[in-house]
Amino acid sequence: MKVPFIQTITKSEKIIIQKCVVFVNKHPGFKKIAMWFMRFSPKFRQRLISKLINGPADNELSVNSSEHTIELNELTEDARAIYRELQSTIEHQIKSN
Amino acid sequence: MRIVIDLQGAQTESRFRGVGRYSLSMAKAIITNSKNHQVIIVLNSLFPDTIESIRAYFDKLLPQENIQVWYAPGPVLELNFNNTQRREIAELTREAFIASLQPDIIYIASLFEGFSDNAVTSIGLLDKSTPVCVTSYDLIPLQNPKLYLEPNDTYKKYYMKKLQYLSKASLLFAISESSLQEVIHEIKFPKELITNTSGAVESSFKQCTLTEQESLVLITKFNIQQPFILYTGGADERKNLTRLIRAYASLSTQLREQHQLVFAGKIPPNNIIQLQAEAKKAGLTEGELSFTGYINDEELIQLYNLCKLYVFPSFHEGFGLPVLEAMSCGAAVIAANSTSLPEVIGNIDALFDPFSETDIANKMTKVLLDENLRQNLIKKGLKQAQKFSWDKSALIAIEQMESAVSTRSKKPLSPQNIKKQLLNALVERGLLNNYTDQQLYVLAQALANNHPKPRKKQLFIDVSELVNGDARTGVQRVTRSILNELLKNPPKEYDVKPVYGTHAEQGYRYTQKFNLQTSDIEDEFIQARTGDIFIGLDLQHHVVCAQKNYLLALRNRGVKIHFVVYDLLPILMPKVFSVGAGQGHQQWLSVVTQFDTVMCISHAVEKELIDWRKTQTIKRHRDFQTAWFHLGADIHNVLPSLGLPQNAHKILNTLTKTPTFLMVGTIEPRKGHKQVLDAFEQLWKGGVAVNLAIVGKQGWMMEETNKKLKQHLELNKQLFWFEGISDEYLEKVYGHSICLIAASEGEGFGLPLIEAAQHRMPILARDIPIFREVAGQYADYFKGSEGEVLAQKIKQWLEQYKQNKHLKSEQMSWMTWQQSATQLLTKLGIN
Repeated sequence: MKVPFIQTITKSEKIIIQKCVVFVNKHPGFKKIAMWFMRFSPKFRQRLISKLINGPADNELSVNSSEHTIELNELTEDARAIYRELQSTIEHQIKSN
Repeated sequence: MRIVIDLQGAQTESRFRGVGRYSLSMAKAIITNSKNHQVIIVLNSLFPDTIESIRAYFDKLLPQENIQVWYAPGPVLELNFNNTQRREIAELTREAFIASLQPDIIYIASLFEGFSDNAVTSIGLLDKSTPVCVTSYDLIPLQNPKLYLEPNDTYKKYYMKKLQYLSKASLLFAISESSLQEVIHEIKFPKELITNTSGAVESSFKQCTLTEQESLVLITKFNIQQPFILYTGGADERKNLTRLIRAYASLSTQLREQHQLVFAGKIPPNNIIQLQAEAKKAGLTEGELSFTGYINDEELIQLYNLCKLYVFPSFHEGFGLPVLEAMSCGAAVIAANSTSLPEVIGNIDALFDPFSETDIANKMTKVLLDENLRQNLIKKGLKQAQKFSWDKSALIAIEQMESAVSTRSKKPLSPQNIKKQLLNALVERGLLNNYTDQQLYVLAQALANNHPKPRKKQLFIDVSELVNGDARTGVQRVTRSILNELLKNPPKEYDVKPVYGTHAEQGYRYTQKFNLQTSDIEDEFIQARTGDIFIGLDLQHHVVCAQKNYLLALRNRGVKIHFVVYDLLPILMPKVFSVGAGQGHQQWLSVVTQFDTVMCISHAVEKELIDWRKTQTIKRHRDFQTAWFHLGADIHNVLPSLGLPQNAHKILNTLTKTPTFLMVGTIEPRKGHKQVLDAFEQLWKGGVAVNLAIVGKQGWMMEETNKKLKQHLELNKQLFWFEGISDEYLEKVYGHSICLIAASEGEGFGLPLIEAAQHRMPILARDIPIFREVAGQYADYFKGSEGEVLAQKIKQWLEQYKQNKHLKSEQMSWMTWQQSATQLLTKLGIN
């Protein structure tokens, strides 16, 4: 179960926080500014702490969909074999045409 | 006979309606009456949120491996023209998948799905030989084209295509005599191939007496203020709700004041707005109607039992399940005298003309005012309901299927060639023309899931931390040890595969780290399949939380997912952990407790977990399963880390010269280092000749103690600190010490106690439940948090030691890692 502040966080807040976390992680110098900002937003503070300490804990990776961009090497070994079969079937069809 | 049931009717929006309920109940009845026949249920992966609840529904009826999920790239809904190519691919893909299961017969519980959702149904596109039977609910759109087909060309095209599929079915199961006649007359389906299997309701739909409290809870929740007239079901035009509202409005004011009209169940918001507008137009006030929104079965049964009258004005039904449900619950039921309803209700006194508001109103008035008539309806309804049973329906269906299979003339598709045929069909039909590599990748992955290579089942052991960094904490020792045992002695039916994930990419990979022969090839993603098992043995909170959706997808595929929980300390003792640790642990626990079994490393931890779980509201479809096992402690049988420093011999000699007390564990607040150091400082001050050896890395929130240890005057004289030493060196330190001090205030297990016992080393432990569980009567215990108290206890203990009267630990029972691994597997039901 997520703790209450996460349940009440809005979508836009979530996006802002995610962006901030990425930024702060890339630019440690800005951590102080972030810490200062955190004083004014307990929700933000909790969320940021959680992110920085625990990684993207409640920001689960999404499962593949047809819209998700994937590379050949991200397929399982079996899937790559089927991809090659598909390719060869397509090529065979082209040749026979 | 192998019956494959396509249960997408229980996955789409139909699951909230009669079709979904019918599909589930019929499938269940077929399974319970299948005798020697084998039943396999197939589900569509494009409805991920529905799979676990369906698996749970069949949990004790069908092995989970008989619930198979097929994959295809989505979205495929027919409503959107852009999906045409994908949907056609999905149709062939689904047929190929089902054919690969080598069915003798296929039963499609609901064919007319997939217009506004991702359901995919077809007959005879790829597999032209396996007989297919279909439940025919009704042909309402065909009989009411002006209402359903003409206004929407896309829907019309979709519907006509489904009718074509229907006509290819080998058998049809009509859900009523009325529905059977419709099929014969409307699509000229051969009479001899249609059977009325009828319908029924689940046994939970029965009369019950509600306590005052239960009634109060229910009516308060749904804002019901007085005795009420009930309607349940959909809100499409044929349901005739407008006339119902007008009829209700024409009741006498007194009757209306005494009876509210309640619409129970999920009705789309726009329909509610329309109905409310109709009510207003008819002069009804706001409180006279009530819309409950979605209700669960338990609430539905309660409402049926509580209502004064149940009205079902629909002018076209295939069966009219709500009517039978209401009758079974002892409600007084009146319904339209059209289509299937007269045969379901079986009582002419209960019928009205659905097209006459006056007739509806008159019937309602009559029943509400005449208690004798109402009681008579209840009595006859209960009797009539007994005529319907799912067993009866299923037995008729099975008999028909047996007959169809026995007369099957065409040869089934060869299972070896199905994938090839599918690929050829996809290419020949031009469905992959202009397909990008990206799209082919996604398709290839779906097909790999659908047509896995034959292989032994796999037992995935999560070793993420070992691979990603190895924090070398106690958890990693456990992970290495259990993994080692499992690799040496894998369960008969499984190949043991260490795997790892990261928080940056979705999915787990096989690791080659523990293979004898490694290669430079990148670690492959795991190819899971039904029957595989995943054990979350290692501990990486953020990885598990990030992989939650992936793990849920694995579970949908039929992979059992278990996690090992080592402790709940960051939650139970937040003050001794860094900020956020408790929250991280809480998030991790809330993820792992969504899966199959949580395996705790001690009974004490299991108790704590169960208590914690009671404070949470984590939604599950199945009971929460916990168990516990004990860890092993035979250092020789693990994969010990090796290596001794150059000065090891000298230090070990020093330890031998003076009685050495040993502490093992990371330096962190709960471990009690501060108290122990205080105690020893007092002992040293008092001239007691004792050594204190601390084995453990620097942890957190102990900067002061760490500093004190590093600068201590007795360091390397009477105080020794071994940071991050190898298992080999640790064993030697054990061998050169006389007593283990286990001062921790909270532990998941207490491995050092067992390791001490193995070295025949006496134990002085803090009196906490887990140490009692592990060491029992073979340890001496101390209480209190002051250094002085412990110093006194150590002095006493030394006196006893000198006289050989101290408690010995030799007899303490402990498990080897092999036994521990076996216990883990046994408790998880893995052979």
